[in-house]
Amino acid sequence: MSLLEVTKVSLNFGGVKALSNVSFTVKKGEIFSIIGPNGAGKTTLLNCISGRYVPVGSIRMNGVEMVGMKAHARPGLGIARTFQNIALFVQENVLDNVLVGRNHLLKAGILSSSLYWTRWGCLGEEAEANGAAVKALAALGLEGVINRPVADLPYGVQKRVELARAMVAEPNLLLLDEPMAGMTLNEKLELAGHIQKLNSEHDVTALMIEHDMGIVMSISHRVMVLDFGEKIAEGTPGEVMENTQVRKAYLGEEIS
Amino acid sequence: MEYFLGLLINGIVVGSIYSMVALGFVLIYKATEVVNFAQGELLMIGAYFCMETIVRTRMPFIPAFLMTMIFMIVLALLIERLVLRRMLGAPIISVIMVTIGIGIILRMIVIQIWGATSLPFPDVFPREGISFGVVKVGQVYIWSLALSILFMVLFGIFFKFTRIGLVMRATASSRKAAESMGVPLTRIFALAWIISAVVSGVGGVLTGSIAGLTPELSFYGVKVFPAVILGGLDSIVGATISGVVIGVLENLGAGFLKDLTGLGGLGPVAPFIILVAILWVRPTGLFGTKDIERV
Repeated sequence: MSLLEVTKVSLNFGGVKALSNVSFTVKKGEIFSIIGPNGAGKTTLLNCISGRYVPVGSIRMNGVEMVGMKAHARPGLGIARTFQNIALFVQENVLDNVLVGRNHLLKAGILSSSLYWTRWGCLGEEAEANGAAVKALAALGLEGVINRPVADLPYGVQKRVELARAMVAEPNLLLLDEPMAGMTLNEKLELAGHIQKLNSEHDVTALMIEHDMGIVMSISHRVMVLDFGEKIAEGTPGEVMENTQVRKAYLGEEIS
Repeated sequence: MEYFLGLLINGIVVGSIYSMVALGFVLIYKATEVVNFAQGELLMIGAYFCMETIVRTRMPFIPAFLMTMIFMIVLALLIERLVLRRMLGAPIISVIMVTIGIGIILRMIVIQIWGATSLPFPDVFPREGISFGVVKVGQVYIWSLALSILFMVLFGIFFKFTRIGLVMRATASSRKAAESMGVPLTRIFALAWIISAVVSGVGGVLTGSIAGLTPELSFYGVKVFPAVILGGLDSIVGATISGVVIGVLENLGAGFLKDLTGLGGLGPVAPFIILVAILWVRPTGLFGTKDIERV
């Protein structure tokens, strides 16, 4: 049961090969991690999937070809994402940030939704959106900061708000770009727990880029390794750890 | 005192129109990062369209006013769809140059149709003034002030409390994040242009009914610039407050500097003197947050 099928994806920036012939599939219900040294093309690959870049090759979500589709069509196909450097709406509060994540599920058009308030006395689907936002925040332990401006929150909390904003879209596939970068160990463990919970209880498939090997190896079902834009290995965490090419290209660097 | 109050009231009224146009300016900048140099021409064409509708169809003011707003919406959609959408992905400076071009074209259209000399605006507001203690204020001023405040409040409510308002704010804050949440950027850009054109059109009708019609009305786009810089290029609240401040300073400047310096015509210059001063002292403006720097 493959959810996401990436086939022979290549992308050049000028003369630089950012990705060459990368193929892999993400199965429904798994946590699939992409690792590799800096500049290996991990974020570029994620951006191809989320529609920011248009690569050569094929990327299918539930069988639907996405290469060439606009980025804003992704949520409709069940894809939500977070960003490497937090991309929250800095002037807004936590609830409003998360409400935007719900946007694509609301059907009312511009005219009718101008008549509904987001805050007070909201009606119909707007009320439902509020409820969903509060629920998504609560699932990540953020019920205490709902009305706080996001700019006031610590980094680790902001990262969780971003995750809640992605989750409120009710995605089938969650793209996480270094969700734990810059966090303390405790924050990392807490977030890893949240990701596992979302995966097991909410049936969310996750495609994650992460540098923390300990966490990647402990929560991922499968891992893919990129180096200089090429896939050099794929398998269970155990298999990948054993792979000599991987040890040389990537893990070796960290050990020495 | 009477003289001072007169100048002050005039300044507040003109300033509230500046505020409204500045708000349209800031909205486009926030949503699309484009500095729209055709803002004044939008105002001008709105004023001429309303006048023509009233004169030609003998329509009462209110339906003519609504017609003008519809015309502004259509015009904004045309500009966005036919010109700006093709510029997506082009460097911002190119888009800004294109807005200058749009401005020139609109001005030429107005001069072709209505000529370059000034025309009277039909009397839509009663002529006799209303007395407030020592000063008598023309009704056109009162209506202008009321309408600009009404539009700014409506806009504020829309922007602050509706979902589309929230999505617009989000888009202004981070395009890539908004896009990843399914926000169609082109539609938000179009909406920003529509709102901006409508408030400019309203500003044009009010200005036209106060001062009459000439193609020089397009100069308002430049006049609004000091207000936008004072408030901060990306601050809606800033634009609203600064518009009034600039309007008042312009009028007081016109009224008093003449006596002090013996030089006439300092009024129109005053805002630009302030503009230079702001850029020296605080380039981001009073409420602005980013991007503008001294180099």
